[in-house]
Amino acid sequence: MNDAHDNLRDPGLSRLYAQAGKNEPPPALDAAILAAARAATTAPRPPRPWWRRLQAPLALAGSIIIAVALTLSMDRNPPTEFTSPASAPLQERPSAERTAPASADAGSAPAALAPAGKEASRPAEAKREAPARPRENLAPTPSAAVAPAESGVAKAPAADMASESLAGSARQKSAAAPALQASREAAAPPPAKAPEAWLEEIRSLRRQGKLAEAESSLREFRAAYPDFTLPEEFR
Amino acid sequence: MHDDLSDERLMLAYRDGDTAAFEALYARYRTRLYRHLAHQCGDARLAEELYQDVWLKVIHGRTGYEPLARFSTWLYRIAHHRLIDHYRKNARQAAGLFDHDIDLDELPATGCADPARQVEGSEIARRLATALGELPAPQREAFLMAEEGGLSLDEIAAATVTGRETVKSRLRYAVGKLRHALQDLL
Repeated sequence: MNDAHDNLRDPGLSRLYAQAGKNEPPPALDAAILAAARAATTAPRPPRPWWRRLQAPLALAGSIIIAVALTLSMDRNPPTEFTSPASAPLQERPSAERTAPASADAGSAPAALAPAGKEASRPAEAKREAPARPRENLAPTPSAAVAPAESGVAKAPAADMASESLAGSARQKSAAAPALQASREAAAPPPAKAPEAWLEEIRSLRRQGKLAEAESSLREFRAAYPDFTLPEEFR
Repeated sequence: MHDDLSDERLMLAYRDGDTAAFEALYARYRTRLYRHLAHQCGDARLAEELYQDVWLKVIHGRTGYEPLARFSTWLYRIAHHRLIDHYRKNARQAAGLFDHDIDLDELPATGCADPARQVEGSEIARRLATALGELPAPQREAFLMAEEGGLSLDEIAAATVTGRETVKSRLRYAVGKLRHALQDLL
């Protein structure tokens, strides 16, 4: 292309053209054009359409509305799926259920907690079995410990020895036994026997030579009627 | 600082608000474009008007400028269209000469003005102006773009929206006629 271009240009004409002089634009025209060029770069931008001006405020308002809606939704529908298995049943179960007889727990807990060591490899089963563990964790609490004793299912802690966590739970139960006994006596309902009849039974036991039983019954009487003034023979 | 930048870089810088870039670009092309237009129309005052219009189109077209071609090609294309507009308004015959199907060699020179009367200067300048004025406008335009603007055949074709072979033919005729008219000066 350049070869063809050069071939079409005549060196003699080019030299003649160069000698013909240099006509130049007048300085006033230069100044006017340069001023126009400067003015074009400093000219204010044309006003943006209304929808472009409102774009940022509308986006901000939309974000706020979505945030508020999400917050309200979270408050009304807390995400139960993401709470820890140990704490979720505590929040969901009523207090009456927590103090319910542990016979069901005692029977089901070992079976439920036996595969505890495999929980890491079986998350689905762990999730399904998770509610059983918090029930066992509640056992050391006084209110829960009272229930097995009163229902006569005192073997439940022994059955819990199936797992390490249950063993710890059982140790806690045995350590807390004296205190639980005291609290059980304190929380015991008032006996149905009248004081005089009860004392008469104690006298009968003494007469029959059952001194140990008489002494035990007298301790229970004192616990049941701490303000009762005992006759001289029982002091 | 702007001396090392290409024309296209300068125009992009001006598009982004660098006025100094435009000043550098203007300094490179002010004489070439002015002489091109002055020889094309042969009227100094008209040349100034066209010259200002071309540069104003460059200024206003800066926001949409993309370096798809050389800046010189873009500049001379603007000048070409401005000349066509002028011819359409003032000399329909000259505008028709840019029709590609016309045999330019068979047509007379345009009657834009008498270049010898308009262009002052030396004898060489007057003779050259006269010879250029006798050329058909498309041939004169092709010659001036090549000689003054330094454009290649393809760039002239792009600037004038014409085929390359057509430009080559126009240039050949222009050079032949000019050599014949100025042979005593060569």
